[in-house]
Amino acid sequence: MAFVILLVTGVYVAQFYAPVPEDANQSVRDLVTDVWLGGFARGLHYWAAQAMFVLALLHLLRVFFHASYKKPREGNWVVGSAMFLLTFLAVFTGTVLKWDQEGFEALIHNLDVAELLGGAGAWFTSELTDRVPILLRLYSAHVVIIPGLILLLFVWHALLVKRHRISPHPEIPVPEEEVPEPFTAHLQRVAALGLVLLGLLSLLGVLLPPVVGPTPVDGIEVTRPLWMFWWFFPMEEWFGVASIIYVIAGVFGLVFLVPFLDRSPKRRWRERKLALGAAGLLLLALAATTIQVWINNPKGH
Amino acid sequence: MKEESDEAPVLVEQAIALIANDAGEERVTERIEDAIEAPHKEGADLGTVRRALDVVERPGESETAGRKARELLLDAIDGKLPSAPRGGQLAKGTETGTSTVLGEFRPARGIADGGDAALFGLALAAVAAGLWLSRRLRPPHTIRELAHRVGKGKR
Repeated sequence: MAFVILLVTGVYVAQFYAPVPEDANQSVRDLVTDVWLGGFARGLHYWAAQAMFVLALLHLLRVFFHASYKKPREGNWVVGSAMFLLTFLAVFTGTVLKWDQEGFEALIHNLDVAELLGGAGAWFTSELTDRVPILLRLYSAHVVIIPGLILLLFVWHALLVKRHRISPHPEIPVPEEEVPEPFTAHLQRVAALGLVLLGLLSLLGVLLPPVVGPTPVDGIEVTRPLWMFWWFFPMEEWFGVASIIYVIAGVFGLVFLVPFLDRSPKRRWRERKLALGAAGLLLLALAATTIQVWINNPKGH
Repeated sequence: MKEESDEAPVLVEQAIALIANDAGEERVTERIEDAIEAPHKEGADLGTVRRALDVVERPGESETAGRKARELLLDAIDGKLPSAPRGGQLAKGTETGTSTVLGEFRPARGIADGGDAALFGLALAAVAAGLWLSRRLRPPHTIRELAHRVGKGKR
């Protein structure tokens, strides 16, 4: 549902957004002040993006803690993880598009990382072409490549769910205990809860509209990124730029590899102490880093 | 992170941006001093830059001082930011294309007008309708009931 809200508001916002460095920041301001429902559409888009990230993360954790990634659903876990990674990239590209100091600094950090990756990071640098502003390339990724891939993977994800059926609850492994229902009953519930989500995000959009920072200037570091990047934000200061690559690749690599690292067929919590302990430690470390950034409020490095 | 520029106008532009981003007096002062001491001073009126430094260092209202310092710094480079596109050329690669350092834009929070009130009302109605539908369409049994049934079956 958050993805649908993002598509609808994104199409509306795109009609007024100028994806060129000279005008991008001003066009976002004009969208908010001069366009009918422009400020609301932007607010809804901003909050829906965060909701999609949080809900995708919660879904991933639910699947992990219920061990629903185990045979025969390993492939679908990988597809879901790829969708989560794409959601993360969508938030990153979206944060750059408003072309304020915060977005620009996020881009520059990303370029530092891309340069370390050499050829693998060329897409993010001016090496690919210095004719097209990188902002325009990120815009094409944000509005076409990433949502297109998410949509394709969603179809694949849903088809795999249909093929393997919804994984039963670990404590209720006998599906015949449930009264069988058509899939449309499930969809109706999704629509009802989606309406609640739409209402809540609309409330946030009205009450807490997102800010647009100052137009960007190169060579200074004074901002901190959106909260979902805080788990690796201090790494550069602590261990150098290269550590950002290792941390991001390490965390997402572990997420992708979960079904191949935990091959045991056991699904009950008390029988999966190692897997749950390792996940708990990782989550604790990520949460601690995030809270550290929140409390110390470092701006720039 | 790139090395700091050795050109005074670039450092002046950065000082303006630091003020706009509310980076604090210390960082602004430091950047203005770097501009004054920069090896390449062409394109910046250092007398005006020094006046901006005095304004920033003077004790008093920091917001007013910031505004005044920004004006002076902009005057020092003749109102032309080094990162502004030149001669009709569009920004390329990672160039910022910034020709004016705009301050933060913070839309009004809360219900500011009739339109906001209408959207707020519609949003509340959507939440209420969604909750009512969710309750009406809820599954015939809870996880706890099913787990209980399975437990009974085992016994």
